[in-house]
Amino acid sequence: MNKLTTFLTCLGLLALELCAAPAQAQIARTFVSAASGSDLNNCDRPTPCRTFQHAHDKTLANGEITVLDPGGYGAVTINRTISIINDGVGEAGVLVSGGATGILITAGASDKVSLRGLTVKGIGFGSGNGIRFSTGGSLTIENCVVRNLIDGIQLFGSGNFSVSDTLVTDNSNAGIGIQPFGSTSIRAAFNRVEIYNSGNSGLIINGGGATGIITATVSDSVAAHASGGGSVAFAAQSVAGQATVFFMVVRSVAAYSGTGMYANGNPVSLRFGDSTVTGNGNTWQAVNGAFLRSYGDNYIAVNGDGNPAPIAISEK
Amino acid sequence: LHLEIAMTRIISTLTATVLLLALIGAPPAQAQLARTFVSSSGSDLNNCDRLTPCRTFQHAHDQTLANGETTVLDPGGYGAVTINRTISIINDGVGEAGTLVSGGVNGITINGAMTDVVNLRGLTVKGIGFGGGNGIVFNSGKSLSVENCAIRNLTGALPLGNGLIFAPNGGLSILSVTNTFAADNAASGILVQPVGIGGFVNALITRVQAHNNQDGIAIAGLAASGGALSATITDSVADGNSNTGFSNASIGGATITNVMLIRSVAANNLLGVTSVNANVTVRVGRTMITGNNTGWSATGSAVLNSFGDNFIDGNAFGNGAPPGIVKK
Repeated sequence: MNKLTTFLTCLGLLALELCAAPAQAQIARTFVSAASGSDLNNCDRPTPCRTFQHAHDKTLANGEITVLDPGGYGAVTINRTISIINDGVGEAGVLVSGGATGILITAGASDKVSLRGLTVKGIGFGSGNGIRFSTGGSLTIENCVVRNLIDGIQLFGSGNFSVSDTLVTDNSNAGIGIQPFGSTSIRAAFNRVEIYNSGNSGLIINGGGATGIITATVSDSVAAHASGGGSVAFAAQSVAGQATVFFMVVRSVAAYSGTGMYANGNPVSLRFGDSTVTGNGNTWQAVNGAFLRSYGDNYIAVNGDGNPAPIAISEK
Repeated sequence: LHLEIAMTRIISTLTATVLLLALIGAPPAQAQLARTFVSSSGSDLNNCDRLTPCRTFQHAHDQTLANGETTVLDPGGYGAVTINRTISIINDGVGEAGTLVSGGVNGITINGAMTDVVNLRGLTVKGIGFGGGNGIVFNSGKSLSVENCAIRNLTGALPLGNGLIFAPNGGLSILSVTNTFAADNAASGILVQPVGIGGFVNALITRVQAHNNQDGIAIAGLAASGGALSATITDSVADGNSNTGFSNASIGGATITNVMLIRSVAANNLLGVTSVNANVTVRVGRTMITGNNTGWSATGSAVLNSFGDNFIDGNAFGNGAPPGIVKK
């Protein structure tokens, strides 16, 4: 009875976040600290944990992990609704090597995952991928940095995705890749995202391995310096009978890449407006029956192919 | 002798007051201060000065003079707070300054006087289930500004489950929301819905992202309210909301409602941009509307006009052009 009373009292106090949880019980808000944390702790404020993974495991579903100070917090696999939040205490980093994944999301179909203020970086030694969404309901990424990996961000499962105010650079394959399998429904919004120095693609959507619908929007973003011979800044592709892809890009920049805007396959549409396409080998390419259109108000110049105008559609 | 003691006290008080302005005074215990501090290692037995910070927003608020500020010292959870005066609660990047919400309560409630001005900066309000709640609720006051905040996962059933509700009770009320994230809420990410009779509301929403809510950003006049409601939304994104992205309505047409929606994105919602009932006019420019079932709709004598420069394609049920108005 005492235990029950204590539990209920704690539940009531959860909202005030004043409850001193019993040792090793899960709590709504956990803390990590590189300066003073230990994974022998229960991750409350006086006794923070050392790693994201241990804090995650100690956090109630719907809870939060709060970063206390700058440091490296290790790779984490997320399997519940949770937020990992660094609001400017200094770098909250995850280093990746050995072919591993920095932050892996394998959550339930209605789970909502939020990442804010994190830096994921590959350090060689077999490299790896930055953030991979395998399963879950939604993922929001804000104010993050993802660098020097194979793929920066991999969105592989069905879900709602938002990436904003985020920098994705120096990844050897794709900065951001949407590549689902099986029956899929993906809705993604990228706002104020900058993708530089990708080896192959800046942002690529590939529906060729799935069925269903993928809709993605890009606004106020940049993809530049994709360096490979066949590289692309913004790309959408699929094949007949596979997933339909709707991709729209506005107020953005596609620059200094093999191709600026690339659409491949007849279930693919790519529309772009009010955007700058410059310094690319090819301004745009639409192959295998893909639908690529310009709103007629783009800034297209200094591309290697002589800056052909795409077929225009009307603004409304 | 009595006079001397009294004089000493007065001088003492005056000295403390002068020093307060310099923010270096050691005020008498539990007196209200112009600047209070909260720390996750603080205590509510303290008086919230820099050396002895408090533990919760509520205690700091209560110890803060009207027109004062509460400064966050370090990352942590600071609990729910009800605000009844002109005050700023400021976290400028020391780490997460959080409020967890459960048990059907609100995270931050503003019950100010008609002249009170409230600022919230750098705060994270999150629902943790256990009965849910609302995130930020403005019931009364002159104005509210919300900057660099995140409001998430308020999962209760109506009337709970909203991220931010701006519901002033009359007069002229002003809302500004900038650089703010409202996601994963069961009802609206942001709901502007004055409840006073014959009030006037001006709302400015810029660089706001509303994702995975039922309704992203909702501007709503109530039948009993009357008055006028004006909102300007720029550089914002409403994406993946299960009902509307940008919803604009006047129940019964009672409130004259004008909305400008500029350089924004309405994507992947059931309904992208809606204008509902008489006396509602929504004007849309330079905005992307795509991936919705219905891109835009105007129903019940409402008006939705386009400046003719929007990106409207890829919506399931058609991509017609709204009636145009001229840019000047």
